[in-house]
Amino acid sequence: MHQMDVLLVTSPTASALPLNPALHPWLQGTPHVALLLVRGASGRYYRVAVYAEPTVPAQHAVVVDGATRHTDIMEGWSPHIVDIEVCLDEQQAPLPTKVVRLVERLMDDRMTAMREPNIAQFIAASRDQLPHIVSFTNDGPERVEG
Amino acid sequence: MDPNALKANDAQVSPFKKGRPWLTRMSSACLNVNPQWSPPVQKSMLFLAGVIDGNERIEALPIHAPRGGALLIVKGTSGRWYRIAVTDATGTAEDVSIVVSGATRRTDLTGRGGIDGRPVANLCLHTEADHLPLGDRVSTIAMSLANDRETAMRIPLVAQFIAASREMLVDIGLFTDHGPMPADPFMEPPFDLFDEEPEEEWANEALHDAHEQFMHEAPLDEDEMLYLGEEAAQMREQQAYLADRLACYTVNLMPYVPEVEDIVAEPARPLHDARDAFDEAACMMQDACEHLLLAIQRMREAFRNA
Repeated sequence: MHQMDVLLVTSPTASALPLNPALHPWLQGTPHVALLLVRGASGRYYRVAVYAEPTVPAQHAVVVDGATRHTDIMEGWSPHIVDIEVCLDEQQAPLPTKVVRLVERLMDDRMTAMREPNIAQFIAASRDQLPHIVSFTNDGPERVEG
Repeated sequence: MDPNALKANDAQVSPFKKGRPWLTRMSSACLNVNPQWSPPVQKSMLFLAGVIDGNERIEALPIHAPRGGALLIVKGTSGRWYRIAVTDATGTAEDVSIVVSGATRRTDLTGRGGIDGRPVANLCLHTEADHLPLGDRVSTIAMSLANDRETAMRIPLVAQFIAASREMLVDIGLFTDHGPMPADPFMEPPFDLFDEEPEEEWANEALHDAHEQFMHEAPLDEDEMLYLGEEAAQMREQQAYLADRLACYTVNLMPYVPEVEDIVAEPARPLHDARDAFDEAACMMQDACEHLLLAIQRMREAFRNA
């Protein structure tokens, strides 16, 4: 992980990371087991939060948020952070392996964008556009209502 | 309709283009309107001329198209460049092809030759309003591309083009709704339309690379500024200045560089002196850029360690 220039966030502030309640209501209050900060080849920042229920091993969730600036992504939740829909590798593999594959895809985000249009749209969007967008889904950007 | 009507529009240039002779020269007068086209089509071309003159991001280049056509260069808000080549095969405006190509640098689009091996890709774009006259359709495409960041939110292939690096564009021939595709020889744009030799390019790859590096290095943010204090503020100013200068120099066409233009205006100094001066300035700029980048990266490292 260290060789891949990925920052494992361990500070107490980061562990109290608030999420967008409108998007992830079921995860509120659930402690995450890993929080990774990734800088893509495009210069965009990604925050990968892995949530897992210790008592039920098969239950887990991986939330990816993106921002244009390092300070934005470390803020927790701000208008300049957007949720990015990602698909985990469907092959039978342990969760850490799937997360590492995801991180690799995000590090090489320009190339990933050629296969996943929502990543491309996130890279193409300017910082000023991000407050008007809630999430980049496979069906296009989901805009803020109103 | 008087075919010269478009030329009259040349005088009504936007304020942005007025102080820039290289833009007024490439104005809407470069549109080739076939007098045999129907009045609605001719009128729509007048509308296109108005769009070109009123939008600082859209220019028309001179072309040789006796049956009518146009060659537009558009700079998107993302900084990407687009070329819209309009050709009429029959001279009746019924069999018109509109080919949209994109690149990271303007010079990639205005040079001669095909797209094979060049960092240029075609974009499979079409308007939903095919029933509209030619000029209206081209205007729609041009304005959408001028605001490409917003267009990318509706059209994923535009987003993929913006996300692709220059190196990746060499291997990509076409961006479609189904993703990027390798080069398609049938989609070659009509490069023969140029009726004059392109202006001499001062290829300075090292400077281009320095500029690319600059664009990838994010500016110092507020936290870093707070930590690093006044020195960082000065560095940020320098970075902004250098990025601006580099953007100016990397265009690589002499008329775009005011300093060089001033030198050329001096009759006593031959042109090659001006070129030497430009090359020297480019080298200095590249050195300054490299030093500053290194300094920024060191400061950033110090900030992270702290």
